Amino acid sequence: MKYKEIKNLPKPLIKSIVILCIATALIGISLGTFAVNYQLPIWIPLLLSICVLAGAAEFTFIGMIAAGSSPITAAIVGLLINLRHLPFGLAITHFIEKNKLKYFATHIMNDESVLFGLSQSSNELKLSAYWLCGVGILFAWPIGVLSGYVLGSHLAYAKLLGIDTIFPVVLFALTFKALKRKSARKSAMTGAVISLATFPFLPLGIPILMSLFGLLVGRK
Amino acid sequence: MHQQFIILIGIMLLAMGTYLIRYAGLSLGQYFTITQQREQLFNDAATTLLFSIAILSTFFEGTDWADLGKIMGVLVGLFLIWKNHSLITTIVIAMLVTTIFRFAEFFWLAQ
Repeated sequence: MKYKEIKNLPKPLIKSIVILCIATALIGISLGTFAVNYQLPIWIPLLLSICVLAGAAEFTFIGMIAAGSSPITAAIVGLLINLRHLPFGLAITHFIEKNKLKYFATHIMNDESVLFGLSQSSNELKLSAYWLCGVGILFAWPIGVLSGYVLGSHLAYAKLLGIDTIFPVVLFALTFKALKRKSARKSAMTGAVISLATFPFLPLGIPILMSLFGLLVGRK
Repeated sequence: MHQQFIILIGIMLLAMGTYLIRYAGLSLGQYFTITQQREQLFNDAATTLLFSIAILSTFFEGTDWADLGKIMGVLVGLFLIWKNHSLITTIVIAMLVTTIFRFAEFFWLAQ
């Protein structure tokens, strides 16, 4: 349905989206090995990766139930972490379809697809970049998780290989362009300081939302 | 069995709640008239959140401090991003730096 639009995307952009999906699959592998290390059955990380499709919340959920906390508590903490999707939705709503496709576009909203969408110049480009990245991750993430789980016991040294370095590096690379705008830079820097300062005192996920107070500085 | 059933409920709660949060953001947006200024504010909000996630996931692992290897890997990654290297080069070299640091630490402790 969107094949033509996606074909019209600039080649370097398609390349970076493919690389991003590979990187996402690698992070998925680390989630899979994480789950197998705690001897959780395969359906738990797999169902999470398909139905939730938000990495940070899934790592937290698995870490918490593995540590013996109640799954309901773990779900609530995961939801707090995912609250950031509310402002994401506000930021992308102007270029998302208004028809039934919207219900599917909702599910593929994640850190990477939002960023790739927003960093394009026109609304058509934004839409196709969002979809390509979102659908790519929809597949890459569970595939990564599954392979991580299967390889699990052989990949005891997954951590040694620096897979956990990928996520922050990808996020920095993707926000770099947006940070060239002065208001974004001021908000982001202040926000990061606020979330670092509140991190030891607030439950997981909330310090990230606290960074939004940085916007007050950026507006001046 | 009972425990697994509660885990299933937890996952469903997380999945449905997350979908609702995403949907609420998209739907609420339609009630605003999109002025350029407002669009920029929402863009800045998304950038600010993602930048904070990047910073926090550099320095922390869950609620614990991250190790030196990860921090050094991300720093080298940042330098490469600044120098306009491609995403794949940046990722591979950053992972490599982290790995070198961790192996060094590993052998240091083994001694």
